[in-house]
Amino acid sequence: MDEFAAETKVEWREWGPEAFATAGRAGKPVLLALRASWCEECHEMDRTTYAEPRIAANVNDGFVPVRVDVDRHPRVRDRYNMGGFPSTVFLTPEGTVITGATFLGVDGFREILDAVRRTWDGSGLEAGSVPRALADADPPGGALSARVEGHMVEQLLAAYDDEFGGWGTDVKFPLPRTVEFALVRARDQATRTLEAVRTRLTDTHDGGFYRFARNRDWSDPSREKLTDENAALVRAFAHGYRYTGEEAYLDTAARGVDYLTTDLWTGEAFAASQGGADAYYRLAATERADADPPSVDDTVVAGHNALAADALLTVAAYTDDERARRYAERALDALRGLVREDGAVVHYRDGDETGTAGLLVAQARALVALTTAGQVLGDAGPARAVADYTLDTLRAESGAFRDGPTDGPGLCDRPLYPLDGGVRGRDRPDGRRGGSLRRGGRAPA
Amino acid sequence: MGVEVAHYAAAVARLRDPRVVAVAAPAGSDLHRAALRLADHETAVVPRDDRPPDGEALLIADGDQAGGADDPPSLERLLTD
Repeated sequence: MDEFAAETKVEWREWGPEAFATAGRAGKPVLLALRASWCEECHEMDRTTYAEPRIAANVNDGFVPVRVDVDRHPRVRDRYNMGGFPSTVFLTPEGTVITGATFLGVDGFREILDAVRRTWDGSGLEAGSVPRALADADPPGGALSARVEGHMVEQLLAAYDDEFGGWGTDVKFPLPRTVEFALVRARDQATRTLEAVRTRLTDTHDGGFYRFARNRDWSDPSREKLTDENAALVRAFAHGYRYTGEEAYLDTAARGVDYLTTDLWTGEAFAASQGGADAYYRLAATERADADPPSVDDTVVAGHNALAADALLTVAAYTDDERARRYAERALDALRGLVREDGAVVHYRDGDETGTAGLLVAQARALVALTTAGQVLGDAGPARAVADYTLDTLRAESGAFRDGPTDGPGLCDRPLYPLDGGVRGRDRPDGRRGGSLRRGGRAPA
Repeated sequence: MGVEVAHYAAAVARLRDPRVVAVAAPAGSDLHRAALRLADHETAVVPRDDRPPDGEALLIADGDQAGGADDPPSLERLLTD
């Protein structure tokens, strides 16, 4: 269990068949807490709601509390996300959803506990339902038409914020893959967005990119730094430099490389993320030197290391930067250590603990890194085995891909066909990280 | 399908009109390094490829040969045409 669990008074269990079996035997609902190590509101809920003795006693008594790290368990995240983290979800022992919410303070939590108890006592297993995206999981399919690209260009034009750069007029996410698409199709949108990210979302003191800005004008950043997002931005800035020759973009990419290879380097691989504790970031630069920086989650996630290797190789390809190449090679070593002989990629490693093998996000990101390695270094390593495994095990008849193996507790045995693993976890406009599986909500695109 | 999944549209575009710069020289050679810098980011670069003559590069657009180059300047002309 993560270090923050100890701040609560709840007797958490690990995600697994045992927790659901216990719930079934005891006739109790499961309380599923979805959290992330970088998530400040998750820590807040640990320190307040879950530390409140009467609430904790109520939970320990009447529920089977299960705590899940969403970075380690993306299949659980994508099936139960209530629109942000923390997600607080109540399940039947069969894994169907009774109800859920995101952050809950003491009063809100007390109310929902009572409501869930009444529903459960009244309806039992009937109280649960399967989120729509899982209930009618018709995989997407069909021919690839030229309309897709044209449609997306129209979307860019419609969503672009002419006043402040970036897309949308609410919260601002950097959307590095969208920037790359725009670089060759709507150059001005791409460069103005890079400029906004460069000036508003970079940590000028410690380096690295904050996750998103809460306001349309790119102010009020949410300051957690995720390795995969940082890597994707390094690559976007490198490509931006390739197209414009703008030195500021190269400099921003180089500073991103600095951050990844120092603060987020564990000694043998890239760590997963760094928290965004606001108190630290409000300190003056001189005070920061004496303060403890927000904690780094040094879980070695295959997909994060893959995207970091991909980004560093891109920088090396454009600049011959030796350090970027060296760290890319080390990240590739770490990644290869997580690729099984049959081509399945192990999602993460933390000491002796390892994650599920064969998740779509890990397979796809590993392929990004290995094919880039093939182009830049001339060695694609186990790319073919990884691709074959992905095709053989995750592809449905329609051609669409499942997000992972179709087994596991809860609703993990129900297939999910994401359009883009990275997109499905994207935050909702309210600024919380979230997917589209809210009950009764729209299915993912 | 909103702008958050522009990456999907990029992948579709690349699949419908794949562009490859095949380089018959090892990774790290001048011609290969030039190809990495000159090819746009949706074009694949393949070092040590046996399709072009030794020491040369070949642009392959949707499976068809679309021009060759035997040094970085001629590759630049080919890719910026």
